[in-house]
Amino acid sequence: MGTDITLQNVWFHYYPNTQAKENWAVKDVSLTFSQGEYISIIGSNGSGKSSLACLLNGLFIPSEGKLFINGTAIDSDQDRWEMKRRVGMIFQNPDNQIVAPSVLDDIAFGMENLGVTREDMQIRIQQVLQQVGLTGFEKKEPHHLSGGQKQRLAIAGILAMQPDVILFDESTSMLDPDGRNSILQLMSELHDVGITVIHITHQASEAFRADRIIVLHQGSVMLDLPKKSLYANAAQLDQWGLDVPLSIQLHQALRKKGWQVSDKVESEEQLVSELWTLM
Amino acid sequence: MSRIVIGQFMPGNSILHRFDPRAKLLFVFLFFFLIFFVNNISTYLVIYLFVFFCIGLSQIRIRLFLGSIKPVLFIIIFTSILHLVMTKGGTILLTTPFFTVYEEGVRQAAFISSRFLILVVMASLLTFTTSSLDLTDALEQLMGPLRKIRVPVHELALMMSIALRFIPTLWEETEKIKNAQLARGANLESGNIFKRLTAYIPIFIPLFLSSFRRAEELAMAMEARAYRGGIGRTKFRLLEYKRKDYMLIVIFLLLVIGIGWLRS
Repeated sequence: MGTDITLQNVWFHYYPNTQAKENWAVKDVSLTFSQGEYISIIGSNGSGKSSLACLLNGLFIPSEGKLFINGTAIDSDQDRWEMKRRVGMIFQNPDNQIVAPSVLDDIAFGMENLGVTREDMQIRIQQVLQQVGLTGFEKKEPHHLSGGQKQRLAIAGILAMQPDVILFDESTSMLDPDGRNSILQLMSELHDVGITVIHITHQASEAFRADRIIVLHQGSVMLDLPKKSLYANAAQLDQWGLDVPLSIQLHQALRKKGWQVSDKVESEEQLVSELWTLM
Repeated sequence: MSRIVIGQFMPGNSILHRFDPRAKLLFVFLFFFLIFFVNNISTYLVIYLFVFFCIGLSQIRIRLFLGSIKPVLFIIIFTSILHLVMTKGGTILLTTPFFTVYEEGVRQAAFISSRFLILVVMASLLTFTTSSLDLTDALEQLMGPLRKIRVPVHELALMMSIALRFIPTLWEETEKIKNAQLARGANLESGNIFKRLTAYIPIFIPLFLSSFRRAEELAMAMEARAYRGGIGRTKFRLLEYKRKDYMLIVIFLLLVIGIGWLRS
């Protein structure tokens, strides 16, 4: 079981015939996402990261190139429909992805589409409410929830469909700090239970929670690295319009000034212990 | 928002709240037909007793029903006056230089306004004791057979349910835009009606634009959750007829027999 997604030389544009190929939203992207990974995709506005997300969920169809799930090419509408069960997607605006007038009904919406029986729905609803920490909110109306709670409701609705992969398309960008932290925390928990988490963001500091980081710029993949090698490469981030996390800026600045800081630093904790030894 | 009384659900746990929404909807629908067979004092007495009995059962304050009558009060008074002045027959009760009031006119005026009142009160009873979500479900199921003649019943019901979900959201947004425009010096309070209406244009245009954007995003989110219309869909909400719902049939038949027997 599980879902491995492979993109093979994928190109995409909404209206492929109207634009020269160098202006397309996604350009010649080849990537593999294996079951259980925690991946961040970062890029500035217009880097094609949202288009990529919609390709991974079957909402968009590659204009050129192929998409495989577990080695099988996704061609038909039926394939793409089944893909949506495997790959759930959480959007940016918490308000505009809640369909039903109550928490219970909204969680049920996705399962209804899949044709899950009513008995199963009852069981799954209790499970996912607990998982996202919304037990006791069953009868609440969406407009009585905070932004973070709405986003957790959206996650519950996706989890009830029992996906292998969950895509977060800038899902934290409209939340207050508390809501944001609770969603980031939930992402780690989902990763711990074996779900592939793909977090699309333009905030490098959030991206650093993942194990693997992909940098997109103007529709192409610039970097695709495990987190520990990113530390050495992070200085390049600002050339693609991304902010470099403070700890990395500090690391680079210290080295430039001639301090004896190792260049093998892989995380913030390591940098801190390096600095201790200097004191 | 609190001023709108018609169609508002009053949460509660009375026997009227617990009837199946389909049973209630059908009952009220048929009751509306029955009203037109009511034509003398004794039958109106039966219906009035029945309506008051229902109001009592609903455990909802009378004041709220008066609130829902208010918007139609003008129509009731207007038609009553017309009937008083225009209807001829029976003994003359009052003569003025302009018009004459006959006994028959008073009777007609009382009956017609009673009919209006009862219609409004019964409709309010239905919406007061049934959540709009239940009503949507009931409509979807009762209209189910229309699917055969290609009426998009599922889509209509979903549209209604989405509309219900977004009313509070759009309401909040309207307030926000209104405040934003007031902060920019918009004048919404003064001037004649025409001026005040045009002053609302800068509120409605942003609201429309954002509604369209919302609709588009919602459609994407629905598709991402594997929505593809009614095919192969199961339903989470379940409506079940219970024994008390069948009682409504008996009650209705008793009303029909009673009115059939007493009417002239």
